This record gives sequence, structure tokens and C-alpha cells, in this order.
Amino acid sequence: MRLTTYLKERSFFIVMSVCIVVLFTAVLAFNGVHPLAIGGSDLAVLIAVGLTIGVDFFRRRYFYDQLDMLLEELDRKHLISEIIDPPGFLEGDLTYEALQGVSRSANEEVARHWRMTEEYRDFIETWVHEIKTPIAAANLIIENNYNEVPTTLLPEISRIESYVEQALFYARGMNVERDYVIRSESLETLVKGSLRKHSRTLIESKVTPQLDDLEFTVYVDNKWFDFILGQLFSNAAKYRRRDGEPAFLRISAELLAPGSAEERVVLRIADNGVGVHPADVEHVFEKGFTGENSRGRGRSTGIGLYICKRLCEKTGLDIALESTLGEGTVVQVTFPRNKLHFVEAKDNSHERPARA
Amino acid sequence: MYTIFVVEDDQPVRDELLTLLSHNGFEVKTSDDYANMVEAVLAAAPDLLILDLTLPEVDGQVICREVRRQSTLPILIVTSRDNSLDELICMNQGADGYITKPYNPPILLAHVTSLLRRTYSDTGGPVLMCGGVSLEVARGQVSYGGKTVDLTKNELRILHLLMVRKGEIVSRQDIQNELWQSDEFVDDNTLTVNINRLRTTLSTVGVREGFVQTRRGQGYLIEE
Repeated sequence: MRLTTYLKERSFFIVMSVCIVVLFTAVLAFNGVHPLAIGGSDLAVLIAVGLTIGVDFFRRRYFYDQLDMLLEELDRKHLISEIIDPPGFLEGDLTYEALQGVSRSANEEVARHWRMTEEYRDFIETWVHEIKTPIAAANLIIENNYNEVPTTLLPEISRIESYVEQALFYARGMNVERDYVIRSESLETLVKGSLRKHSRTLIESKVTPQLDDLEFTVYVDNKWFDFILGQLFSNAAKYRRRDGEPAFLRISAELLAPGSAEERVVLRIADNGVGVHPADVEHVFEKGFTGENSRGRGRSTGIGLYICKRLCEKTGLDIALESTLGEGTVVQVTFPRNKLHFVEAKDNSHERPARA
Repeated sequence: MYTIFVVEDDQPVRDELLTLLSHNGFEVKTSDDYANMVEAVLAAAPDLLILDLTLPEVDGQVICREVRRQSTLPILIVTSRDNSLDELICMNQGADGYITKPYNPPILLAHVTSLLRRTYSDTGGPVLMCGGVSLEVARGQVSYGGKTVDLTKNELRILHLLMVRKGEIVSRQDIQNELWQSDEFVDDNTLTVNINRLRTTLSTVGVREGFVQTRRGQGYLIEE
């Protein structure tokens, strides 16, 4: 709040005060009062007016500047009324009350949506756990009645499984609570475990994994990481080349900047599939993005890589994709070796709002 | 023959699990008296316990802890709860393995066999018989007409799968999957090479040519 603006706002009062002083002086002078007495009275009136304006100005400036500053700095601006003090002048108090009302209703609304989201997520989690039992039963039934069940049923069940997993990890990725456990794991064990688990996807589409040296220790949640690998494998299967050349998936790792604070293990998963259009590469991790390639290759939800990205962000990993159209795609997952990385993992964007 | 005790409250899953295990040469026991499950398990004295976590009346983790307190038998948790925390708690309470539903049945069998092998430093193990050919799984040996030969890891896996499913055509993908489960990520061509090696090895003990039959476009078959 600037002085000139304030004075402009008060100009009517100032002009009127000056007019009154002038009038006052004229009347007194006309009645032959001593000029010194007139001057003294005028000065007294002007000082009184000046003080009134001054005190009022500073009081207002204090309140509105504070309001401005807090609004600027606050992350969740709807909580403003919780921090600011009532100003103690009429308009200010009125503003303050209005602000409190707005704030309260906004907080209630936020809390209501928060509860709804939480309930919905709980429901998804429970539902996913429930549905896993019948899927397990279906898998066993197929295994036990091998020659009576058409083999084409197996990949379909796999697909159901993978969509169910997606729903679960979507809910988890959006979750604010850190419901993961980061432990030191052998990269080789994790990759091999995931290849065993997701074997059907790759075998059905004749994509052969080739493993290089993977003997590194990384800090991850094994379940989350398995989901990420599963998504990458299923992409490799979906976007494999179909020109008769053998499709492969080369999995390798290396240690970068050993000994330094930036020491990290990089896992590279390279396929020789159809690749991603250059214009699409930067968008592949966006929610709902389906590029050129997805069209004509069955449905694509554009959610898999998005969830991978979210899960990586939450656990302090980095994921990146490079591709040459027609030659293949390389996905790199970077594991910082600094054990504190997951403490620093930034995830402020979804903090729990205060309850109203 | 090993005895496996199955604690699973979902009827269809339990039935199929029991069938799967007995197909694969295990004796199976179960109970649905969840309140007295620990006693039932201990009374049955199985060689391995397969335990679900979400059960009526009692939580699987409690059973796990109580059984472990009184016995050293291997416990394999098979559950739909798939967060790392549950796994950590179970492992700390004495479980020896943790698999989440829905699992690939060969993975489950692989875990079971590996746990049994490790616990009992297997000497006997199941012996599969078919048409005069007998397969000693634990030793990786096949005998025919008094002669015995060692199999390589891959040959053993393939022959084992074909003999477990004798009389049924086993698809190439299924054999591949079986090999992948022991970290042999073979492609289609390597599979053909492996099958041919198996046939050659079998012929060294005099097993006839047509024992492992090829069904074009379908897979392989050992007849009963």
C-alpha cells in the first residue's frame, strides 16, 4: 500500500479539511482576531488532521501489506485466515470476517474431497486384493485342466492381471502416505524375479531377454520396482518389431561416478522394437498420452509409464526414455546410491491439507 | 513323498491348489477350523506349510508366528496382500517365503520345491515314472532298463514338466516358461536345441525314439 494511493483515496477528506481551515481563518480574520492566535489554531487543526491520516495510514498499511505478503508466500492460500490477526479497524475487521467465512468453507470443501479421495482409494485397494483371489483360482484351474482349457485364455488372464496391478499402483502412486519399504536389494535378483513373474508376456510375443552384468546393490521397494519392470516388459512386448527379425530386450547396468556424492547405478532396458516418434518422446510419461505407435496396436490407456514416473518420483529414482523410430527404445532407471536420497525425495505437491 | 499343509479360506483356490500339488507328487492336507489352525497344522506334522494371510477368525501372521514358535517346518506365505510391509513382518515372524496372488503356478511349485530341497537337503524326493522311464527329480537322474544317466538342468526341467503332464500336449510356450522359472531365459530356437539334447540323452540309456513326441504347431507329449 503506497502513501500516494492512500492520499488519493483520502483526497476528499484532505480537501474538505483544508477548506474548513481556510474558512475558519477567514472568519477569524474578519472578526479581528490576532493573526498569531489564528495561526496557532490553524496549526493545531492541521496537526490533528495530519495525525489522524498518518495513524490510519500506518494501521491499514500494516494489515494489507501483511495480507499481501502472506498470500504471496502461502502454499495453500485458503488457510490465510488462520494466520492473520484481526486488524482492529472497521473495514479491516469486515474484510477479516468475510475472509474467515470464505476460508472456512474452502477448507471444509477441501477436507470433504480429501475424504472422498481417500475412501475411493481404500475401496480400490480392497477391491484389487479381493479380485486377486479369483484370478489366482483361474490360473490354477487352467494349470490343472491343461488340455481342456484353450491356451489362448492364458494371455487374456495375464492382461486382466496387469490391468488390475495398474489400478492398484495408480492408487498407490497418488497416495500421500509412504506405504513403501526401501531396502537394499540385488538388482540382478530383482530383474530376474520380474522376468520370471512376467514371463508369459514376453514369451507369447517372442521377445528374448539378454542379461548383461547386473551385480549391483540398489535401494528400492521391491514390489514397486517389480511393477515398473512389468510395465516396461509389457511395452517391449506390445511395441516389438514384427518384420521377422528376432525381438530382444537387452538389460544392462552400470555404476556411474563411483565414490562421489552423485554415485548412482543406471539400469538400461533396451529393445529393438518399433521405437517412439521423436515428437512423442518427451510426452511418454504424461498421463493419458497415447502416441502414434499406440494406434493400431490395440488399446492403450497411456497410464502405464505415467504411473512408473510417479512411483519413481516418490521413491527418489529417475526414469528416462530415449528412442530412435524404427530401431528401438531405451529406458533408463537411475538409482542414487546415497542412502539418504529417499528421505529427500520430493513429494510436496500432494501433502495432506489441514482438516477444517 | 512330502506332505504339504494348505491353509487357504477361498474354496476354489484351495481345491485347485490341492489338485495342483497332488498332481506334482505331493501329499496334501488341509483344515478349515481356523480357530484351532495352529494345533491342526502341528498335529498333521507336514513337511511344508502354505499359508494365506487373510483368513476368517484369525490372521495368518498369528498362525505363522505360533507355528514358528513350536516348529521349524518351512512356511510359505501365499497371499493377495502385496505391500512390502506385510512381507517384511511375515519374514520377521519366521516365514521362509512370500508369494503374492495371483501367481504363476510354476512359480509356486518352484518355491515349494526349492524350500523343501533347502530344508531337508534332499536325498529322496519324488520319483516320476512313465513307460519304464523313471525320473529322480532331486538327483536329476533318469533311469531306463537298469541304466542311469545324469540330466542337465534344462533337460531335467523339460522332462519333469512333460512327465508331470504325461498324456497331455505341452505347448512350447509352457516349456519355455518352465525354463524361465529357473532363470534360463531361452528363446524359441534354443528350446528346440534343448529338446533335441534331451532326446539324445534319453537315447543313451536306450529310451525309444518316440518317447518324447512332437505335435506340430501344438507342442510336445509323453504318452501314458
